[in-house]
Amino acid sequence: MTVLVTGSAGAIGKACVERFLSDGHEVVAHARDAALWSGLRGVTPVSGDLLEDRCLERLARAVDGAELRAVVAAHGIAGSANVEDCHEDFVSRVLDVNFRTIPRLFRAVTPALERAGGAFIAVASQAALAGEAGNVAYCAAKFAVVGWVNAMAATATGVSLPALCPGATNSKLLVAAQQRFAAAAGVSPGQYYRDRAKQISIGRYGEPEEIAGAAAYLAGGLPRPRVLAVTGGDVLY
Amino acid sequence: MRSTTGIDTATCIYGEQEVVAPLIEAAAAYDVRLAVASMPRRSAEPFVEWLSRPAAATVTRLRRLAIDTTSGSAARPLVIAWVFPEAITGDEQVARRAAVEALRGIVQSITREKESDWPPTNGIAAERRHLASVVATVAFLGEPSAAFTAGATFDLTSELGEMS
Repeated sequence: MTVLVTGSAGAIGKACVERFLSDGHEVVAHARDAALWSGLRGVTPVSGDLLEDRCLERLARAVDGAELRAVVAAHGIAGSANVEDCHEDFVSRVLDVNFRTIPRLFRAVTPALERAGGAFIAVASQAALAGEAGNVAYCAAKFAVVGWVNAMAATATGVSLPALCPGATNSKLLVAAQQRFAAAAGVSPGQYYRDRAKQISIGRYGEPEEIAGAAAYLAGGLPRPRVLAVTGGDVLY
Repeated sequence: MRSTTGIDTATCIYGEQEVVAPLIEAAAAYDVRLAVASMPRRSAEPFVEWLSRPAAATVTRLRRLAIDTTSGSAARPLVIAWVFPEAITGDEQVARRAAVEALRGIVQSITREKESDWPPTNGIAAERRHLASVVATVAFLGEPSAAFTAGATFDLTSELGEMS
């Protein structure tokens, strides 16, 4: 069976590709530049911008005829900024990449998913479940993803459509965001990281492999939750 | 109507202003700041015109309020109202549901970010035909007894059963 992973150059996307490969699946690995996957057996790299139709067409062709078990939409960009720094272009960009690409991607791969009865796993965030300070644009986009998933549940036929909501997960994206949070709070990134980890119920950040494990569970084909929060108990859902 | 330009007043920040003019007029009777996004009726891209653009306009409005030091009392509530046409198609219903959640995310995030040095902020989502319900909600949020209501989004679309 085949799994499509978008954002496969990011920490969570990369972990998802590796997890599904180890589970014996063929993987179509999308990224803006997917060259990191070139030559790896079992992986078909697809490069491109998900806001461009030609990229979606390439992805649709890549999964056409495959038994598509799952699509893991793991792409996204950082969106943290205090509201004073949220210029309109920035907000639009965060919404475009982190939300608007999701229904566009779903539309492109729906025929293959319907044929196989697969799952479209929208990777959202715990910022989709509870508002966060310094993150208004990102929260708008990720809340919209969960709203879209809940609305689509009433319309999609034969396709499982869960939202996977990771909490603080060790990744370049998170480190970059936390450097901004730390600067806003007037503390060092290391101190911010330690203080933040203490607020998480299990006392640490998540690892990308743990989020990939949750994605593999959601792709499992049996009834699954529509919204799965994997947050170490930080945000409860 | 106090003004259609100031950030401390009732204002249409996006879309079809004439549709929500009665709401803006009525809001002048209440001690609230009101920012209204009025979604266009027929949209080829409802995810853009009912979600991305009003969200960007709303955050831009919040940014203006944050950087303006003459915007009045922090105790005067801020209400963000997103007014939708009746959702006819399935795509429009899905877009509206996603948009309401985007509004919820904005309202929650700004409430967490600004805490007590910011006006109590709440959101309202409703259809055009139910502007009276929006006015009633604005009236409630303008009462002293509503001062502890902050960070909430009043989804009057689901209350009316459209998406249930």
